[in-house]
Amino acid sequence: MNVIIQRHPPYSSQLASESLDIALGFAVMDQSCALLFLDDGVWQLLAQQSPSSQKNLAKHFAALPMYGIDNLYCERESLQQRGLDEDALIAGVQIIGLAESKQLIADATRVFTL
Amino acid sequence: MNATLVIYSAPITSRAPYQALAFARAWLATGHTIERVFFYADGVFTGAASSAPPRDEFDAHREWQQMALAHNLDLVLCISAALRRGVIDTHEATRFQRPVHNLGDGFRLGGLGELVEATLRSDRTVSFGRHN
Repeated sequence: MNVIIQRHPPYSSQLASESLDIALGFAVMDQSCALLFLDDGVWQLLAQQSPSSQKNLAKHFAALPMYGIDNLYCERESLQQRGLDEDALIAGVQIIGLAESKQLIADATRVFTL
Repeated sequence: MNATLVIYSAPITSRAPYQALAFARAWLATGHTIERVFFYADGVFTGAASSAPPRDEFDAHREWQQMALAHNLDLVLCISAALRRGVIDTHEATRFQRPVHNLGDGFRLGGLGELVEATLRSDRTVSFGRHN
C-alpha cells in the first residue's frame, strides 16, 4: 500500500492537487494507495467548497473510487484542533485516531508527503 | 540496494536538492545504485539552466548535472510540474509556442508514471523536502 499524506490546505497553493496527482499516478498503474489527511490537509475534505479560481478538490475525491482508490483517511485530532465536525466532510471518509494514522504510515510500502 | 530519490523542494528556498545530493553521494559510495531521481513540485526548479547563483554558493543545477554525468543517473522532472513553473525544454517550448527554453543538459521531462515505475523497480524510495 502506498500512502499519500495530504497536509496542505486546498487552495492556498497547488500542493494539494499535485499531491493528489501522485495518488492518481499510482492508481492508474494498478498500484494500491490510500490518502491520509493530516493537519491543514483536513480542510480539503470539507463538503461545501466552491472555489472560484481553482478546481474543486472535493469533487475529485468523489471520483477516486473509479480509480480504485477507496481509502480516504482523516485524522480525528487534526479535525478537533481546527474545530471541524465530521459531519462537514464529504462522504466516504474514514475518521481515524493518531495511533491509527501512525500505524497506517508504519505499514505502508511507500509514503509520499508533499 | 536500488533507490529512487524524490525531490519536492526548490534550491535557494530549501536545502532539499543539496541534501538529496549528499545522500546520493553516500549511497553510491557504499555500492548501492540509483534507479532514477525524480524532481516534483518546486523541486523541478533544480532543472533550470537559467539559474545563476553567486560562485561561492551551492549551485544545485550544476552539481546535479555533474553528478548525473559522473554516475550516469536518470534525472527526470515531472513534466506537468515543470511546465506550470516555467521549466521547459525545446520540444515543449515549440509545442506551447513559448519564446524560451531552459531545461539543462542531463535533465529530461517525464510523466508521473516514470516516478511510479522507478519506485516499483527500487528497494527504497527516499524523499527530500517539502511538508511545512
